[in-house]
Amino acid sequence: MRQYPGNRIGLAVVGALLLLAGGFTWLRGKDRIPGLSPRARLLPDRTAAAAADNPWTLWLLAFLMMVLALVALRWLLLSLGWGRRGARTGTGTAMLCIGLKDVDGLSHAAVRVVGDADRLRIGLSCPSSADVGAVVSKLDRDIVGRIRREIRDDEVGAVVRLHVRR
Amino acid sequence: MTAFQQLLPGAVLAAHETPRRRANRVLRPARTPAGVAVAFAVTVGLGLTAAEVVSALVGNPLGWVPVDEAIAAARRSSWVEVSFWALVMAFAGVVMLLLAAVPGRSRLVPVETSDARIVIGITRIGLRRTLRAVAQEVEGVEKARVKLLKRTIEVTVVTGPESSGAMLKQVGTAVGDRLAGVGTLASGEVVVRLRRRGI
Repeated sequence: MRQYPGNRIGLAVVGALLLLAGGFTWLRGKDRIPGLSPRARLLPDRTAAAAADNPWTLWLLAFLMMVLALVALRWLLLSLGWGRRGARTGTGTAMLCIGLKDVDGLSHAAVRVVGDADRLRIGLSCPSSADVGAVVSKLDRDIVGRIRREIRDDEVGAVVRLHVRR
Repeated sequence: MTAFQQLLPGAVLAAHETPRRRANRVLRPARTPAGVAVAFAVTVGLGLTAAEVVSALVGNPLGWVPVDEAIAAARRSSWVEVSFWALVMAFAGVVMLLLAAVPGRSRLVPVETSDARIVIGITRIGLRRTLRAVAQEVEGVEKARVKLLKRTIEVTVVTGPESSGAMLKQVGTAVGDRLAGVGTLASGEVVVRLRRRGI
């Protein structure tokens, strides 16, 4: 069980590409790369002419950009929580509330099932007057285990987010 | 089961993952704001540019992205003229690589659990509130403030003119007991500071 790694992978890929492109351009501009003139144009005339003579290269470029845009769109949707937030389960939420019925002022209690019951996300908020230690102990030893068995089995991972409000 | 254990079923790995490390792996920041911003910029930039190139190839330019002006600028400029912008680009790349590599501080404080598949985290502000509540329950304490620092938990209590060292000890014990009850994995030592009102 681990945190969603997509954002870190995406940031690493984009960051590495920017660093490589920026580093190469800076080194070339400072004449640190032998055999390549810093006074040359970024887009030489012969390259522009070759691209104009062969329009399929521009079609290929547009296709590549569209594929990369679709990959980035998938990353964007995933980073916004698509498929990661999970669906709320009424049974699990009811079991959570029944298990913590002794805690006065419990709110925002919710159990979500992520994916094909791969993981449970449990969230709850209790007042500062509540005995948070007892709440944690009940969750750990009893309630989460029961909810997991009801949803699927004991092998399911569960992440509990506990908040204490004023 | 790890690949090593699959290869050698009877083998026992010497180094086990500590509960704190396991919880931190699950609770560490997902870099969502930075990920959303970069993913949005890449999606919009590449998508619009691809649409602009295709529309220009079919003879009906959309005019959304100034591709022609960019190509003209690239044909005019030399490598030495864009050195500054290259440095800016490289710096942005380094920032993104650091965001990807540095674990970062989680908004949830991990709590000890009996099952490795259960990870419980309490919000930092929530932990502060529960510790403040327990400190304020001590007789003589008018107000308390809790700071969660990297290695210590600093509790500052405001009392009336007549306060004693025993009260400080009581506050420390109460906060320590609550921390032990919650079972936080990354708490550190508790430091209690006293401020008397009216002095």
